[in-house]
Amino acid sequence: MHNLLEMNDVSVRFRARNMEFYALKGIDFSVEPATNIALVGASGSGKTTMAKVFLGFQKPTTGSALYKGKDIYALKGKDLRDFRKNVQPIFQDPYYSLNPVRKIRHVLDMGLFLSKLNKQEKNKAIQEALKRVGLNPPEDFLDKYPHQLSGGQRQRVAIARAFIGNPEVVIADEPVSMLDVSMRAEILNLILDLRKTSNTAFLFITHDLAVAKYISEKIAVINVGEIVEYGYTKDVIGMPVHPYTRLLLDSVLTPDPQISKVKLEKFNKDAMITQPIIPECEKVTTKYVDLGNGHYVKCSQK
Amino acid sequence: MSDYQGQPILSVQNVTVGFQTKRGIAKAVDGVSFDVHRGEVYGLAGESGSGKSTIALAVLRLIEEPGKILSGKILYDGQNVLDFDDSQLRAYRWSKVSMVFQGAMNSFNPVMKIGEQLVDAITAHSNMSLEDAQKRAQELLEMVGIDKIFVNRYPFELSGGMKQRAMIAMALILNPPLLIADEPTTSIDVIRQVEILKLLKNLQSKFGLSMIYITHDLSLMAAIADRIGILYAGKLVEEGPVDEIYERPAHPYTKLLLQSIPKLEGESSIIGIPGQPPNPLSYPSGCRFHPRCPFAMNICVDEEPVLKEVSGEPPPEISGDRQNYGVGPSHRVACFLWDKASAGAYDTRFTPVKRIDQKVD
Repeated sequence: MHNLLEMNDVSVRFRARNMEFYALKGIDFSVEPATNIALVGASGSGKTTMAKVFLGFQKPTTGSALYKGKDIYALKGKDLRDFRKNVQPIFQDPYYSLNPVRKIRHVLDMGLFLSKLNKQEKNKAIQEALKRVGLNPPEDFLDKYPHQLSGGQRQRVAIARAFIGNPEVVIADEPVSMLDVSMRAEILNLILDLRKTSNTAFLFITHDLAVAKYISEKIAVINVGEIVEYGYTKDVIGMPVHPYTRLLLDSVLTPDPQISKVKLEKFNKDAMITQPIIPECEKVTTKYVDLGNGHYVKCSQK
Repeated sequence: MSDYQGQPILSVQNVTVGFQTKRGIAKAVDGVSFDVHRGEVYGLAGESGSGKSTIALAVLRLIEEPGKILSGKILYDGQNVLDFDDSQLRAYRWSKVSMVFQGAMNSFNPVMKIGEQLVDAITAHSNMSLEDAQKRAQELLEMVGIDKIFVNRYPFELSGGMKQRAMIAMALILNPPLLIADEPTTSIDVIRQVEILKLLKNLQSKFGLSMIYITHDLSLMAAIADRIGILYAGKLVEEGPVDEIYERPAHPYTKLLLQSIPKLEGESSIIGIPGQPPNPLSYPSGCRFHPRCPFAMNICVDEEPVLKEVSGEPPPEISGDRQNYGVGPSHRVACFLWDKASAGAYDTRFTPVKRIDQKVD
């Protein structure tokens, strides 16, 4: 049994004139069926590049990206169609990710492009998809254009489009960061709900550990192109080991003045970065150390 | 924290700002009043379109056509900014009140070195010699944590966080007593966000600055503000000391907003607010929040609540198990729920609105 998505020692290198840098450096990562992982990191850490590699948009410079054991960048024919149907994206900005000259009906119809439904069945599926994301009654939305909807409604359409063909995995790149605060919670709850009612695996990309904690079972923390800590959400957030994870946790403020004011006062990036090396690392020669319960931490000196 | 001595440094009184559009006047800010006291950080919180940036621009008198300040007063040190002539305005802007803009990353001139731009601003506003101005520019950059070698760099050579710091330096060149920070940390990453916030807080206490901090992020707000005003659809719906607002929100909107934020601490689930912020061309009647408010009553549809002191028995819809609502002038709210108890049950204006099946979002 292969993993749904897998990266084996993936590096992505970008070159500009005579400079080059690695957006991803030797990533090993997999998405198993029906799991739900958050990829967390600051801007420039490589989280979006990882999403692009999995979506088939960014060929790795070295290493391999696999879909069910087959190289994503060598897929052809039926395998490629299968991949396209089963790996679906939700992007950050619902203002740009929907075609402005297409009606919502059409946007969703495109999501069924690879399905074998007849016209009537497609129409029914489209209506169901809109209902599922809370755009009810569907008739009110089918013939609208994206500009006639609010940001929250557009993101719901994007989610409906991603889920309409019952994909095996959905990759969502910061799906709530462009939305107003009052609408974020509704979209997050919608995603939680869809996850519970489907077998779809979910890779959720965010810079906010509080959001990651709310939405996923597992967390991978990524920093300058490398995964530095990985494990169950409760372990990564409850017992963070890597200095970078701790730094990220220290930067998450909370709507409580007493906690947040103290956090702000104590915040000291330099102290966090120069923290001593993880003691568990002394005992191993591998790049990662296993702390138990699938909680891995990268040893920075290796 | 609520006992402020003397005249406020800034007093915004009943200010309305309208934008003329083809479909009528959009009142982005509608009759907003608040004071900023010396040495305090006053937070303005609200979603996009609530009018928070428009207020900031109005304070600096930077509202441009088709926008216009339609009514009200903005008193700086007791003087009405809206009556200033051009020369008074020049003496007021930047040297009395300066601003760190949203998306400051793009507010620098891309073809001028950072240092030159700071020097430019210094020499334009004072009669400092070029040499002194250059020294001052270096000092300022160092104060915000940028190495002085960056004086000779172009904006594209700085990271987003550094540009934001440089913008803060720019805002402080004339030692203004009041600084407006309009979402200074949006679109920079989480770690730098906290660094910038910390820098602002440190500068604020070091120089005893008064500050208006604008954001939609109630977690950031909690860390920096002393007092907070919550804006909804161009109106101030609640105002009070920061601890009071977060612990005992008096307005349903504030309460729901606080429940909609995922937290690292605890296991609580979050709840969204149904519906969406209204269009400024067609605000709902009565209380502008009533279509989204789970506790809306008939009176909320018909009449507009005014911002007044939190007083009387806390309505159970709002207070839950919270007690000891701070009464008195420091905590103000615009919500009829607070009048319900005193009106008595027989008053049908205070019965819940019958809703026709509410649409989601």
